Amino acid sequence: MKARLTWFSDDEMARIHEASLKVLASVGIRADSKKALDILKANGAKVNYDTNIAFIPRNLVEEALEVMPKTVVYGARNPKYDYILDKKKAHFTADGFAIPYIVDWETGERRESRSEDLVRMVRIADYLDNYDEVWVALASGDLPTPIQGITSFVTALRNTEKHISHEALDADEAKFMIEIATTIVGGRKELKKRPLFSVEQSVVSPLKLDEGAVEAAMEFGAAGIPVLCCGMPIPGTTAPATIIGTMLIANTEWLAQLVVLQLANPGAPVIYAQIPCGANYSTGAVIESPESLLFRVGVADMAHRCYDVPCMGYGANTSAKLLDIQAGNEKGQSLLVGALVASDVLPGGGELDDALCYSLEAMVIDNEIAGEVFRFVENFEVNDDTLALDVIREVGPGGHFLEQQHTLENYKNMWRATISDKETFASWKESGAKPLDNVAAEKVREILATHTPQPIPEDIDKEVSRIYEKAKSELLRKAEA
Amino acid sequence: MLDLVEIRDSVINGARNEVRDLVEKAVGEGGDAQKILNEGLVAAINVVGDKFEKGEFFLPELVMSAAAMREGLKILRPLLEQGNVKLFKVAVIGTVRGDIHDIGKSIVGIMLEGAGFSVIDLGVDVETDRFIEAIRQNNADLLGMSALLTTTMENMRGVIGALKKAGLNIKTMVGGAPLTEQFANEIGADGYAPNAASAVRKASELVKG
Ligand code: B12
Repeated sequence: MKARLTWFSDDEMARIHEASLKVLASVGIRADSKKALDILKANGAKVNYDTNIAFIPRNLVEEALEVMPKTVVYGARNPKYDYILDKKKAHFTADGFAIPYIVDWETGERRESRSEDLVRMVRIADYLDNYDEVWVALASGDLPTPIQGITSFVTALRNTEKHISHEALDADEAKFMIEIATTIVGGRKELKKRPLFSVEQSVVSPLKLDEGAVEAAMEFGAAGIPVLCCGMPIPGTTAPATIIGTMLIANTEWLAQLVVLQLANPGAPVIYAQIPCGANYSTGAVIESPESLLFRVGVADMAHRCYDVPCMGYGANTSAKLLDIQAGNEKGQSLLVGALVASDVLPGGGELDDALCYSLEAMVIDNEIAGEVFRFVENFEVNDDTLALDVIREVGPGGHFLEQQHTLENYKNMWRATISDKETFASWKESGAKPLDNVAAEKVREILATHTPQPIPEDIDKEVSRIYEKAKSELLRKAEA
Repeated sequence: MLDLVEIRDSVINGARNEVRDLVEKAVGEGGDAQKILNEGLVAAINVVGDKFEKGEFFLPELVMSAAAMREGLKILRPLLEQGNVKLFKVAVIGTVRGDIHDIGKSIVGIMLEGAGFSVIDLGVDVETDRFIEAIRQNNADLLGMSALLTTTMENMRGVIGALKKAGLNIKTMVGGAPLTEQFANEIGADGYAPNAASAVRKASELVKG
């Protein structure tokens, strides 16, 4: 068996689901998108076009839950990195979208993040074993704003062979991203089979779908690109000030986005990616807290056990501004919870300051923590070999197991530190008495000096460049208009 | 006799219906509106502010008191604002074009109201023209802009430029998680604040002189 963490009883989940249906039918969902409202109306929802509020009946929700896929494929530029989100295992990734600041890995100063930082970040995630995919984490503050999104998308594709995750602010940006990915995999059909990237499209709590986000999501749905439906209800500001009331808002928003996406493209891949958050009640700011940890369990319960759909919950996230004990504590707790609930997408790698700041050293440290927690949730079978009765009989009381073939075969499965210090004081001192962040910084330097991912084949990359150039000029022109 | 203590306590407790009833009664009994405002509502809000600074009160208490104050003001305003005299400073606020983050901006708005500003909240994704129009229409004293995306922060610079071009002499204040004081200076904003409490302090400072 595996160690596994759940929270709600079946009855409790059923109550939350029923309450969501009530909210959808009687309070409704606001969609500031005519396209979304029209689809809802055409399928039997009551729509008020003055307020943009749609009242979604139970049958639409049930049909959407019926037609949505129960597992999601994450394709990668290199097929050896393809995998399936099947609700059984957590997959770790880097965090955040367009994080504005970075702690400079050479000077230690916090500064604006630039396009070259994104290249470094993506390469490091490409190299580190526990990153199954790569979120396009950093903003490129040095580039004109209308082309930052598409540029980071292309940069990411060129610098990792793993699956990437990104976002689009509107349907136009979405179309260019799809066109580029189609070129790389060799066709729309192939892209549907092995989507090279996934997208997080946000919901505005409470109960509102933004025009740009939902229309981009529909565009992605049509192309078979997995959509992480993501709202961030906060108890007391954008949701009721109870944990359960906030779960209800989160769940209802997910169902609403699901209905729209499934009506637009039945069978479109979706992920339950609601991230209810804790808050600082002096400023309103979103923070890491025991409540945000608990929400991750609730989200995984609703997704996996109530709806049978993959989920995302925050992972290596922290409110700490630097790599201190607080960062280690929050990241460690949170990743462990994420692993224990088998959060299919477990982001956070490299993040600091509640997704406002980033650190390449943190990426390396988070990779280590991820390795630890994944060991924790491995499957441990109870059988003759693992019970090892024979070996125990052979060694007997008072002996030792060192000389056993069984030991030689099995000790390799035990966890081993990659950067944490597990030495004696004397040898730790001899090797420089380095704190962990210094060790991580050395690793960052080493990776950047030695690791180069396979580039996109030249002929295909030429075509990528052509679409990218076209996208840039169109997006710039649109921004000026 | 005018019971200002009770009015003050009701505002501190965030009991908006009570505040409405008490202020109505006080006015009905011939109480001086200016005195009710200063020694009842404003005095209460000062206490609430102090408690917030000391960590005894948090946002929810602050917001409830602000809402209670608003109820009282509704009754007092027509009595105090006779003719064209503007009793309260007017603040126009909004999240800039391309940006839909609104929690921080809304909290700042509520707190400004609590501090006695008339607040016109234009919502999110606000175009430059709409800021200018609202400022003109309401003869505003202060513009507060919010942005949470590095890609939309730049739009603030555009608005400030447009204000100058339009010849509008208004104080500007900016905020939002990715912003810094340095950025605010760079784009020519008059003020910056990292959170709602300091936003109120900054705003009062800016419109004073
Ligand atoms: C909640 C949230 C959302 C919610 C917003 C819901 C809502 N109703 O507003 C949702 C999920 C919708 C969302 C959407 C998106 N988000 Co968002 N979001 C956040 C998050 C986690 C918290 C923001 C927040 O509400 N904080 C709570 C409030 C109270 O704090 P605040 O806004 O900072 O306000 C305080 C102060 O700043 C100040 N203040 C604020 N405004 C003003 C104004 C004045 C005049 C003054 C003086 C002071 C002031 O006082 C406030 C109160 O104390 C931040 C990360 C973070 N840690 O900030 C990301 C973040 C801002 N989002 C981010 C992104 C990328 C997005 C999306 C593009 C994601 C996507 N895939 O679609 C979309 C944006 C779409 C768009 N066009 O705008 C990035 C921005 C990166 C960047 N480089 O710009 C961030 C930093 C997270 C990240 N790295 O991934 N988001």
